[in-house]
Parts: sequence; C-alpha cells; structure tokens
Amino acid sequence: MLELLKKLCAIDGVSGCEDAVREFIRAQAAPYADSITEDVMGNLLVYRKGARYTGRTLMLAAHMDEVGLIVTSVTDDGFLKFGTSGGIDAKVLLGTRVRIGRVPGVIGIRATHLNTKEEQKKLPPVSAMYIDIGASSKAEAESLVQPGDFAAFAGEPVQYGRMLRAKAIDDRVGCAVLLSLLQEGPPVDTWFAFTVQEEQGLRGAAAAAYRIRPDVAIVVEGTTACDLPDLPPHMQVCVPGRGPVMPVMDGATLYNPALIRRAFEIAEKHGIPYQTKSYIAGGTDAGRITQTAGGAAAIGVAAAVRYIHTPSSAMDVSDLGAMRTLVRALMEEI
Amino acid sequence: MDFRETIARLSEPPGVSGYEQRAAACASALLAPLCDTVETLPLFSVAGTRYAKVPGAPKVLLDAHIDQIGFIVTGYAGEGFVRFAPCGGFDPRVLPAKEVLVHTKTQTLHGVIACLPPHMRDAEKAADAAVTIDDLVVDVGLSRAETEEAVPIGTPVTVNAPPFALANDFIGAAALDDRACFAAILYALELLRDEPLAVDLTVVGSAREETSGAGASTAAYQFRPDYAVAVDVTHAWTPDAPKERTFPAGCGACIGIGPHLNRKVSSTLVHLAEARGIPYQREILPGFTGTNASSMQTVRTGVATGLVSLPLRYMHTACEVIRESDARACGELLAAFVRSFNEGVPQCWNC
Repeated sequence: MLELLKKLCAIDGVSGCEDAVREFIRAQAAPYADSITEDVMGNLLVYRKGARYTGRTLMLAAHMDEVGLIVTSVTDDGFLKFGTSGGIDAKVLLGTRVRIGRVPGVIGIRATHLNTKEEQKKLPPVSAMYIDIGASSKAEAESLVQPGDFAAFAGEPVQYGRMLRAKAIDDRVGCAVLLSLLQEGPPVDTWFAFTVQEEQGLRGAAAAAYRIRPDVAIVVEGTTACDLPDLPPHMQVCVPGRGPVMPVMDGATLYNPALIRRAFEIAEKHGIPYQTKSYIAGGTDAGRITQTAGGAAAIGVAAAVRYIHTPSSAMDVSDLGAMRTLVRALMEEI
Repeated sequence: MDFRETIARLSEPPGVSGYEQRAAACASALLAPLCDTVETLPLFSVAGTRYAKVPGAPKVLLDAHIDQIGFIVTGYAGEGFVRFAPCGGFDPRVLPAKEVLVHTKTQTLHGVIACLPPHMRDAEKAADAAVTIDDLVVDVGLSRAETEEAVPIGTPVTVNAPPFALANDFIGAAALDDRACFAAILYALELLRDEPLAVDLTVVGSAREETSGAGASTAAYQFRPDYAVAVDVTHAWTPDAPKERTFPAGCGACIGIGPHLNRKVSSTLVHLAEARGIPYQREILPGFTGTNASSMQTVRTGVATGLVSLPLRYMHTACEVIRESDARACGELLAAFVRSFNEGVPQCWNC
C-alpha cells in the first residue's frame, strides 16, 4: 500500500482539476468494482458488494483533490501571478518548486542581500508572489501556460526515518486505504466515494452523499499533526506513529458519539493503536455528509500528518497499515 | 562541455562552509584532466595548475568558491528533531517545509524543516511576521535516541535542490552560488585546452567564501598570483527586485568595477569583451564586493584582482536559477583574459 500511496501522491490533482487522480483511481478500481459512476462534479463513486449486506448503506469517503495554485495572469515580463486553491499558508510558498502540468516553475523571492532588516521581518503576501517558468516575455509564457491552469507542488515522495514525505498525503492516504480495501474485497456491501473539492469547502462530498444516501459514513483522511518541540502537549493535536486519529469533533463535524464509542471499543478489541485529537482543528467531508439529504452518522479515521498543506507533508509509515486494519474492522463491526 | 551535466555533477556533493571535502573531491576530479597538477589545500580549497613552462611566466589565478550555505547541527529537541545554526546568510522565510539532506560521515539522511500549521501561530505576532532561524528545527523522522545516535552534533545539513530546467536556457540546481561559476572556469580551461599558455594558470575552487573568504585568501597566499579573477554570482533581475541593483538574466558576464578591484584588470576585461563580442555589463561596486576578489586583493604584497560575475535569480534559496548562455559568456571572457597574456602585457595595462 505504501507504493500505491507514493504513486498517488506523485499525481497532480489540485482542487478543481482532479482528472489525473480520478483516471488513475478508476483504472485501479475497475477490475474490482461492481459499478463505477462519475458524477457531474467529478466525484468517482465505486460500489462493490461485500461478503454480506448489513441492511445499512455504508459509504467510505476520501478526497482526491489537494491544495495547490491556480494561474491568474501573466505579467509583461513573462512571470505568472497566481492564487491559492485550498488553504495554503503563504510562508511555505517562497523558494518552492511547482509544475503547471508539464511546465516546471519556481516561486522565487529576491535575495536576502537586497533587503533591509525591516523588509526581512515581513512575509510577502501571496499577491506579491509570482511563478518563474523561465519565459522571456508575456507571449512566450502564454505559449506554455494559460491563466486558469493549475500548479501543483513539485518534488518526489521520499521516506525519511519512519516517515513518508510527499505533497498531497492529504488525502491520497485516504484514497490509498479505500483502493486497498476495495481491491482486497470489502466485508460488507460498500460505496467507495473518491470526492473532489474537499479543500474548497467540502463541496464534492455533498453531491456524492446525496446520490449514495449513506446511513453510515467513514471518512478516511489526513489530519494536522503538530507534535513539534517547544509546543505544550495539548496543542500538538495528534502524533504520527500513535495510530489512526478518530476525532470526536473538528471544525466541520460533530461525529456520531455512539459510533465513536463503538469505534474505540472495536480498535481496543483488535489491539489497533488509535488516538483522538487533543486540539480541535481542521474539517473533513464528514461535515457535508452528516448534513446531506436526511443526514447520516459519520466517523473519521485519519492519518496524523505533519506539515499538512505544504510540499513536505509527512506521515508515519506504520500508521498506514493500522488505518486499513481499523477501517476494515469498523466496516465489519460498527 | 555539457554545462548542464557539469553543473549537475558539481552541485550533487555537499560543501557547507568548513565542510567542503566532498565538493572538493568532485572539483578535483573535474580539474584533473585539464591541469598539470591538482592539490587540496588545508582549508579544503582545491587548486589545479597548468604551467607555461616558461621561466618567469606571470601567474594568473581564477577563483570560484565550492562551499555553499547550510546548517550545522547544534542539538536535539523533542522526538526526532535537531536544532541547528546557520552557516552563511540564509533568508529564513524560504525554509519552512523544505526538504533537507543531513550529511553524516556514513550516510545521507533526508529530513524536513519543521513548521507550525497556521492555527498555531503566536497570537502576539502579526499575521505577516516572517519566521526567524531560531523558530526552525529539522525533522529527521526518528526517535530521540535514534536521532542522537545517527546525527552527531556538528553534522552539516543542506537544503535539497535537485537539478531542474526551466524554459529557454534557464537551469537550476543546488549551490549554483557558486558551482555554476566553477563550471564556467572549467569551460574556460576547456577552451584553452590545446593552446600553449604564456602564464602559469591556477584555478582555485575555494572553501569558506560564505563565511570568511579564507579559502581564497589562503590559496592566493600559497600560489602568489600576479593577477587574480574572482568568479562569483550576482543578482539577476526579478519582478520583486530593484532594476538598478540587478542585471537582466541573459545579459552575459558582469565585469566588476570599483576600489576593491584593480582598475587595469577591470578595463582589460571590458576591452576583451568588446573586442571578442562577448556580451557583458559593467557592475559598479563602490565598496566591499561581497566576493573573494576583496580578500584576494590584499594578499601578501597585493594582487591585481578582477571580478567576473554571473547573474543568478533567487540567491541563497533552494531555487537558484541561471542562464546557461551567461555562464558560457563568463567562461569565454576568462579564456580571453588568459589568452591576452600571449601578446605580452594586456593592451589596457597602460591605460
């Protein structure tokens, strides 16, 4: 599954342009699916019958999109202005390599030597930044890139220590877990929903849930880990390597309390490590799914991801297998 | 010479100031086929010499530094994080979430410069407050005990920047400052390869430019050059940079003019660029040049020192970019300078 995750992270799928991720997943899913539906938003909804039918509609959800950039205009000198698609902290953009499709670029910043001490203390806003693709003129730049094109972080996945570093672990880790469960055959009849535009405000999940009408949803995600030195433990949210994260609430969702209690029991029964969030931050597709149509009970299972929404998001490799084991147990027993 | 391949080869080994051994070994290997002798000096500078084999031949030294900015591990924090001190002038704002390479004696570890998510921002700080070096630690993904075992205090760290190409002839790689200029000197050596020289020519790949300039000054002490040219990067224009303090990428070689540089060497370089049709710009430096030229000028009884600069975008970041055509222009100008001694004292020497 690690190799699958690396492959998924290497594909570019900024919110609003998830096509390449969807095609990869479709190809991976097709031999195992009983049905595959692509809806008008671009969600990919895959159904596979399991060993039994529980009488409830079960939906697993993972989002295909990632945070990234969108080219807004080209300057007279051939540099690209851009906006962000999804929540990106401006501080991780400077000096970063990107690719606009096949066109490589860099988000440069003038050398520190040219700054005053005061200038050095301020982070320039995204509106002052630009992408350099090496074009010499506006016309040359426009022959390579058009306003509206999406830019993703460049850089290949790499393992360091116990961690995997890559862009887009949020939420290709969810896609990898879902694909893996689909391919090994689900214990119960299951909808596997690969959603779009999560980073734009959980938009794809609304249409997906409306079509599937789940009774129970398990949202498989990557979530902010903040276990950095010098921060008090209660601010660290969650810690990579301590197992999947099952939050009781986050910025978008109040998860179903009965399901959560049950999920904790199931994890403990199977000896699967898990943790919850010690600080309430972030949100997932569950925020939409629980409120769509007549409503649904949802639970979240997430990887603890350091430096989420940056070119170097990082998760503990051991959490990947634990997530699959936990989600499978939840599918079967919840 | 295949510039991209040479630069890729030169930029691969790390050479944080004071820790240049691996960069020096690479520079030595590239100098060897082009020189009569190659040696490594006490501070890890590398020097390759071609002799005129004429008694009393003037000595010319061409210098580009092989060190780069980086970090030095100073301690440990939390589970799997190391603290560091910067070695050379970093802009901390380009560091959060960058991938780094940790160069221990036995292995190269990958790591990430840790950064706080936005919701953890210090409420006392303004939203546009830049991070400082002291805010940053490197995550090596191990336990505390494993980290202390694997990463000794004093280990050098570089920001990872594999080679890449942009449109036209723009290229990027780690430590283009100043390995791209070392490549330009190698190109000059290649242009001069089959020609007899009227000078003893020493090429120095100097250590410690980013911290003290001691690699070049000690090399100049050892080789006693009559003439020296430092080859280093200067700032190329970008949309956020002032036009009057930068040079457009693609303008060719920049020739330094100012009190730290010998006026006759500067005017000789300008003359040669004009005569050979090599694209160039004048770079006026009213004081310290920020290069090895300043330190070499006052070695022993003084050295007639010039400066040739290569325009570089985004200096001291992980996305430094140059134009290959500019690097070639620098190499051609350096070869012309060395050749000019074949006709005795260069023409401008008496102007």
